[in-house]
Amino acid sequence: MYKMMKGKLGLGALMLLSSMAAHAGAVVVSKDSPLATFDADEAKKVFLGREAVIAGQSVSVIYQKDGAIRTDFETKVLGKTGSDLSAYWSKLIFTGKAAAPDEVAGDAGVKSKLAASPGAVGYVSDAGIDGSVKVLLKY
Amino acid sequence: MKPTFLATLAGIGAVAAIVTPAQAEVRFNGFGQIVAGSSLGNDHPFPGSSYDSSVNFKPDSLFALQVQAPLTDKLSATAQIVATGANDDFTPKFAWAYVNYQINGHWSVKGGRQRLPFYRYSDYLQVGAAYPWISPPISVYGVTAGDSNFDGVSASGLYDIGSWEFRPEAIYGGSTATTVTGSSTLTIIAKNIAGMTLDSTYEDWLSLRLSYLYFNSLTFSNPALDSLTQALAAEGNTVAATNFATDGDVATFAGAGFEINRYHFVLSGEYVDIRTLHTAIGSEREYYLSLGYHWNKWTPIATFGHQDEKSSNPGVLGEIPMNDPYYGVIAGFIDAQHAINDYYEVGARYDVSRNTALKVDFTRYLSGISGVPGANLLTAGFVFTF
Repeated sequence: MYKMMKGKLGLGALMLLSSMAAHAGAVVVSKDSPLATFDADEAKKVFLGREAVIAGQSVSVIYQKDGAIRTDFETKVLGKTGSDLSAYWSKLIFTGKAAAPDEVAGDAGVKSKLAASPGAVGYVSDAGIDGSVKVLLKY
Repeated sequence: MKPTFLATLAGIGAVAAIVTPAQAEVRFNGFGQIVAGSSLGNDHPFPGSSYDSSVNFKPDSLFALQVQAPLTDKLSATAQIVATGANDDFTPKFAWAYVNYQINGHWSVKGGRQRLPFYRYSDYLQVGAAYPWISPPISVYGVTAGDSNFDGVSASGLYDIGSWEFRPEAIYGGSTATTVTGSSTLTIIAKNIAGMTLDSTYEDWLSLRLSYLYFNSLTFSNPALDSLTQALAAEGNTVAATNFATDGDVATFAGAGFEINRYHFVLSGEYVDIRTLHTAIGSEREYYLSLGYHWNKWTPIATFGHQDEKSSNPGVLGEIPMNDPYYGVIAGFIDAQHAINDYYEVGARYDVSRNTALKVDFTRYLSGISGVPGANLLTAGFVFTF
């Protein structure tokens, strides 16, 4: 049994490595933001509109417009995509429980929005990570 | 759409643009649906709806715009304007208009016009994109259809404990609503409404809900009912008049609901218990149970609903003499409060894109009281959000 487990772990790590190499990104904030690193659960909560305030700081969420980066993020971090995610957000937006997240085009769009507000959180592809942002979670 | 709708939107936008600080943004979101329905070849109109045998677009079609303007870091204003075919031929009306203040990470308070939190889907009753049926099951949702909003204050909480998320809410306020069914107009005035609800979610797949609302003063007014009450009082039957009419009477609403979303199956249900005191209108219990299955972009769904209603105060009949000219009318009214209704529903939803879907629904209504005819309803529609 020990051998089998070892084999499974090895395969899992290999798969993780390969998926990370193929598509990957990070949850980021502006480098001056007071927000500190997230774990996967925290990131999920924030991007599903369930956490409006972190350590006294009002948080706003930035999504990217429909595309590969968005789908990658939704699958890996949220576990919800497409119509399911849309229906979920409708229930929050149209009941006043959360403000609709901003939707911007591409990594560059996200970064300029982040620079404009300290409480904003967004996600970018690996290629979009540079000195203007602080990484809170890699996925 | 009439010119007034666009004018209203422009007005809201203009006001919002003036009051919001430069770095914050006014957000516009909206939803709508185009739904057509018919009670098919059947002569009997579907109860609790305006559908008859001809195809009708008005009862369920609507268009809504929500404007949300951040005013300060913690304060925001939200308005939702809805234009429905059912109400005044698509005249836009303020469904909500409130100010929200985020006190801290756990609590926020709202003041203004908001939705009465009766049921699981009350808050987004008109957002068809958020649920699989054309409208939430009529057995439960049809009951308070005419009176969905209140003017007042509410406090909403959010707590995460382990894998549970709890959302408690408390409300206080009053409401006035007018519903038109056929040629009859009913005005409902409720004062001193106090309510509490608790929504709990376990991980991503289990939702539970409890709600309780207490109406300290509920008044139903309608030309026919009012003149009957006045006639009774004029005769000297003042006690009967008071016990017959719904005039400043107490009413309570208690509801429980659940949803299990697992392995592509969605099982949901709600149970509601409504009681009125010192009035001849009905107290009732109803529930529905619904099972759907997510399969790629399709969600077929089957629902069973049941309603059980009877007059809260049949004894009022004993308070007037049998030879009274209005005895027969009152007896008829009390009798009409008695209803046992069953609804069998099958339907499907197809997700066309992230924000749009097509839906179709067939419901068969059968009465548990002999002599009351059954009825059918077929509805189909396109829903969207933006």
